[in-house]
Amino acid sequence: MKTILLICILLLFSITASASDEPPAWLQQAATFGKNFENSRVPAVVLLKEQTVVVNEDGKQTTTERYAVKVLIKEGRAYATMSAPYLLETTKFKEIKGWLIQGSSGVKKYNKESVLDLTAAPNDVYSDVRVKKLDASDDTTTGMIFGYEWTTEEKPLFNQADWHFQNRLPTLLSRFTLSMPSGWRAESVTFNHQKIEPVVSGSTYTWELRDLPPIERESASPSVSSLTPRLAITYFPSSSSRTTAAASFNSWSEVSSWLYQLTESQSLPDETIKTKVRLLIADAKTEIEKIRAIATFVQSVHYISIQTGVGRGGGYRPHSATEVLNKSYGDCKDKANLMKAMLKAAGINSYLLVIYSGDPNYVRMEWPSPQQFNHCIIAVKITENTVENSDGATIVKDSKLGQLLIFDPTDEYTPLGDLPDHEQGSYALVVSNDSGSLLRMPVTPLELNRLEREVEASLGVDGSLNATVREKAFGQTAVSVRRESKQLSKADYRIAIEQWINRTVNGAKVSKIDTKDDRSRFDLEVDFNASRYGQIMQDRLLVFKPAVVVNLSQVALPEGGRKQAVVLDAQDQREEFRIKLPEGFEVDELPDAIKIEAPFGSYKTSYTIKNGYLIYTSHLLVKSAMVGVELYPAAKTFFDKVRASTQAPAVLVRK
Amino acid sequence: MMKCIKTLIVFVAFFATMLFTTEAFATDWRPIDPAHLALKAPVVEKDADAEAIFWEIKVQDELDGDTPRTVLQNYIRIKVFTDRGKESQSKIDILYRNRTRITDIAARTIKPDGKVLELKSDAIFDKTVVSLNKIKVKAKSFALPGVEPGSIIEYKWREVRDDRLAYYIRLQFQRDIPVQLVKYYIKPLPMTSNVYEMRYKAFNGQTSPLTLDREGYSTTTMTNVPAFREEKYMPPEYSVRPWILLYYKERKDIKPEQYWLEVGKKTFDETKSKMKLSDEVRKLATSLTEGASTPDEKLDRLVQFCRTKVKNIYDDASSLTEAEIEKMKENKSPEDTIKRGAGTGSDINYLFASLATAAGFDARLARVSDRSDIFFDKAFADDYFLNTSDIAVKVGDEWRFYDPSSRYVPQGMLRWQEEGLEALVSDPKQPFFVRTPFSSHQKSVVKKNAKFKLTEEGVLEGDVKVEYTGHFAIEKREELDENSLEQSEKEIRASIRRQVGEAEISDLKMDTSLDATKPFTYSYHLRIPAYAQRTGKRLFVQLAVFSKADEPVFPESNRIHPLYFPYPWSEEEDLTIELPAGFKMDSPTAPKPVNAGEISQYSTKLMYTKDGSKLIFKRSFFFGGGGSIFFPQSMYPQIKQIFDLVQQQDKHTITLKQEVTSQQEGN
Repeated sequence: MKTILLICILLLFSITASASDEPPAWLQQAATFGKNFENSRVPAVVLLKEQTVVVNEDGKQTTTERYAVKVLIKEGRAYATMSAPYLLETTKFKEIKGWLIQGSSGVKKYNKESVLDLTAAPNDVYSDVRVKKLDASDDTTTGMIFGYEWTTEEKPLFNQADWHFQNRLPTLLSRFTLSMPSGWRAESVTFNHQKIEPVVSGSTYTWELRDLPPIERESASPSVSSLTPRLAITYFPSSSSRTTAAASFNSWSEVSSWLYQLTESQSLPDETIKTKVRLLIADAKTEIEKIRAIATFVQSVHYISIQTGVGRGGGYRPHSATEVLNKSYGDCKDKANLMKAMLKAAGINSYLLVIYSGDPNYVRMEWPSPQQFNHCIIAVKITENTVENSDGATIVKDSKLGQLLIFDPTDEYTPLGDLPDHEQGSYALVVSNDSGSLLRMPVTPLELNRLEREVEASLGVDGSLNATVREKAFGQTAVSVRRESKQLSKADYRIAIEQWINRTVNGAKVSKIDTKDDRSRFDLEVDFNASRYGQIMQDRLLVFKPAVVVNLSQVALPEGGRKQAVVLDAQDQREEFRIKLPEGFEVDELPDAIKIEAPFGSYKTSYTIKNGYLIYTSHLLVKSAMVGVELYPAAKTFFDKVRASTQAPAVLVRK
Repeated sequence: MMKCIKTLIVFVAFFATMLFTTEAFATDWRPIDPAHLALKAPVVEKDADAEAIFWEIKVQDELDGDTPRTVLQNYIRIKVFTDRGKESQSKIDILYRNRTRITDIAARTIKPDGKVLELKSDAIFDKTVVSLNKIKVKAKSFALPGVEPGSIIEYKWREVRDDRLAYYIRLQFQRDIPVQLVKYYIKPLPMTSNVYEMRYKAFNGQTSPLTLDREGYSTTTMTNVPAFREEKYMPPEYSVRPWILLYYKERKDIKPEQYWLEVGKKTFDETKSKMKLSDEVRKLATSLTEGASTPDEKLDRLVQFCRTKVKNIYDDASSLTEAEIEKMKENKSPEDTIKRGAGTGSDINYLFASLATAAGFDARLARVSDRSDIFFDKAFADDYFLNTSDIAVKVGDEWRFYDPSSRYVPQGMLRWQEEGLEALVSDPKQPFFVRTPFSSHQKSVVKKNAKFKLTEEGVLEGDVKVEYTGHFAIEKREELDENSLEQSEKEIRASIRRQVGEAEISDLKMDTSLDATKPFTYSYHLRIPAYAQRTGKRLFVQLAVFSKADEPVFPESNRIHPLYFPYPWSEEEDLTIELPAGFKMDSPTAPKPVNAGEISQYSTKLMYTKDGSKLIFKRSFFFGGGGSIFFPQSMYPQIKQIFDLVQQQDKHTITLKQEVTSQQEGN
């Protein structure tokens, strides 16, 4: 990646200048919008963000995008860029132009010779998805206006479009126009904003917003796609239209059926698959054991992405299960599809499930569209017997399909019976010919994702410390530590543990690191010692922090006002520190025990002296929640207190 | 250098009599040793996830018609031991650019049971990673099928670099995984004349002596090469990893001393015209130095003129756009540079040299290397690494070095990359090496002065002033060039939080003066809500406020590479803390000193006012004394210990005890 980035930078430097040219009228007009704009807190202001889609009777469409941005401070230079994703085989760029209005220095024009063309997925072995990029940032200084216009022709896969009215920058005018043949109609849904009604003129629809304020970056805030006003549009040919190429969707079941037609033939198990399945489930006695054996195997299939024919539906169609098994690699849909084929060979029905990975709030029920998904997992139909013998954490009941066990075979660190946290609570679509519907994914209970930490330590009279940390991580907490231990080499994992311990215990020497992973639980045991942990004062006091180790990722919410909700990840962390006190010392002062209750969680600590040990316990519970702005002060106080308690010292005094 | 390669290509094209046909690229694989298939653990590094059994590279210069080209044939066989090895090794991207072709790719997986899975030709993708106009970076990409722990994978490809020769190319021996055997086969362009020859120079490793095989290749090997890993504070990559420099040179045996004499003379000849004196230059030098009483004063004025009156067109601070730079004409003489008031870094240095000469000094161009790339060794008789330059001026009996093109470098210093190096001072008769100055830790200092007030709730609040000098100041000013004031302030706030933890920072004022003779300073108001820890009757206060949230510098117990710090530095802190009413210090002690002799020292001083209401804490630390910035790997425990001890002492706290009031006593 470093090499590729370096090459991109080198190429950018070789962009050549073109002769000055008058900017088009639309850009000159847009330039007038920002004359009186003032906001010292933002790097740039978008003067115009506009896309026009013209659909022909044969389904082909011509898209034109126009954009103008004014750079307000140096950092705003980074926004003097164009980035236009496209599909290699099906999108044709008719025109790309850019202009930089440099004030008294005139106008610099950019043509197609200035445009970088690069792969949008450098980590894929191959992908049809590419990006046209124009970068004028090196030519830009404060006060300049950058604008671009591009036009493409393509035959889209769907009669659908979506439009983000802004990114993070303030936007003075944002407009989306859809022009269709006579008799066609369009329906739109608005997200993150009150319903935006189009202005309709014949078969041309225009949606528009003005003077959108910036979306500032705040820690632990929702994703920008949950904040920016968005438009989702589906358009429908007239009844007399002869076009059949692109799909319009009225319902989720139509989307499901469309995906089914595209995928079903790829999951037919052949003899190779059947043989492999027989081997895998030879010792499995129950349905869940069979599913687990197959799931574990498919998880071990290497994730490798090859995206061809995306413009013709290739992005939704898996490679055949036999091919994936033979090559032992594939992407998410390949892996889910292989699992489906293998389950079929084992006599178990299952369904592909499309989902959006990374933001559980991304998929909206109001817009039936395959474009809302970026990931594929699986729903396995299970019997009541299997349901009764499981904790049910990832089982969903569908009114038509019955009990479905949800599983993500791409995430090699999340075992069967669990689901990646960024998918929990999200909508996902079951791919079925006639019974597909949008399902809400399960959210696993807090205690199934808990972390139990026990620290057994001994404090010396000189402040030295010998300690053993034992952790038991469950569920998604186990996944994050498992991922770290599996992805890092042994040497790098050791370094990571040493860095963690040394954050609180200066000069700690780690003597042992043991891990144990039975897939349902990840255990870690670390032995370490440090010559000076406690501080001797006046030769009579010994001061130390009972929280010998702390979590690396503590929630820290800054001071000041808050504009967006706080997104909290679930936590259930139970700690017990047993610290043997040195001979000849007794406790003089201990931190106060804490008990805090909040709508989104609770925290309590205790300190006990027993048989020469200081026993410090803490229990932190945080619900996965979106905390509203009104609760920000409470959330900040809560997490400040949690952090402060890990810093609180105990004082021993020489007897 | 470009001239040399052109001459060489023409020469070769003219005299070569023999056309080489390309060796047919064998698609047959070498037999798999069953022992390798059965191998359960790596040989070179015990915890490796994958290990190359061999990696062979044939480098051959040849003619395709009249056109020279370099052909590199790679063949690598890798044993995969773990899932991590599978993940990292089974997806291959072979990048190439214009005038380069990748051909004859073959790959296969040998499963642990001996089953072979060949890569099919339709599984090799040719993708354009990025293109701009006619420039393209492409990649041949493929994934090896059926890889699992225990598998052997192997692949080979042929890279043809058209219209080029192996002229100063760097050949690697180290990969991201360990390699049992690396073997280079090298075949130069056949030449009928004895004027040029191909040479190679090995760095940082024990390669076997070149031996000629039956096919006419000179071969060299290296065995048991560990994986390359980066570490914090390590020497430049090319000073630690094994590699070969391959180049052509005139076929003559020349000793380094003689070679440098020739290079120094040639440099003098080549730069003479660029430093040419003219009446204009003389007049300017006279007016600039008028009234200056000492050589230093004169030279300082000349440097100041070059920095303030001539715009370095490649400096971020110049605010010139690329288009404006392209429009500019080339300066052919110092006079041109004066007239245009702008030029490249070299133009500015040449102008300075000619002004200094006009002012009566002996000024020369001095060629230096860049120690952020590699450590220069003059025993290697080639000027490849002398890729930058400064101006050497003789003042009295000593040579001083100046780089007016780097506008933020204070007088008497150079950029750290050029300090402490052997510089070749050009001369028409007797060029010579002089070591460039090396700035001591007193030159690069960060000073913090603060006046705080502590409340009984543990809140620390007050005003802070920070001052950077030397290399610190250069870096800060360069950052300021890159960023807006807003961004710079944002970064300063982030850096303060890295030192003190969560805090409120207000009234941040930055001195944006770009004057290299002055320190870079800023001030701010700081409020740390839970700075001191409160127990029932005590407050615990860490004295080293700006080390409150410091992370350990070297938490790792093991070290692979030597340690290397770019430059020596010092830290000075002077804090006053007003204590909360009703609390008094309980037998406070200062952190203990850490003494590492000449290399590093840490000391503190704790004082308090008579009434005990204020404490004054002074902290002083330096590292790199005596120019010690490089330490062998064996010294890692000692260096780690210095930083651990300093951090430990920085965590030292004092106790404030609540005074018992008469009312409380009564209770």
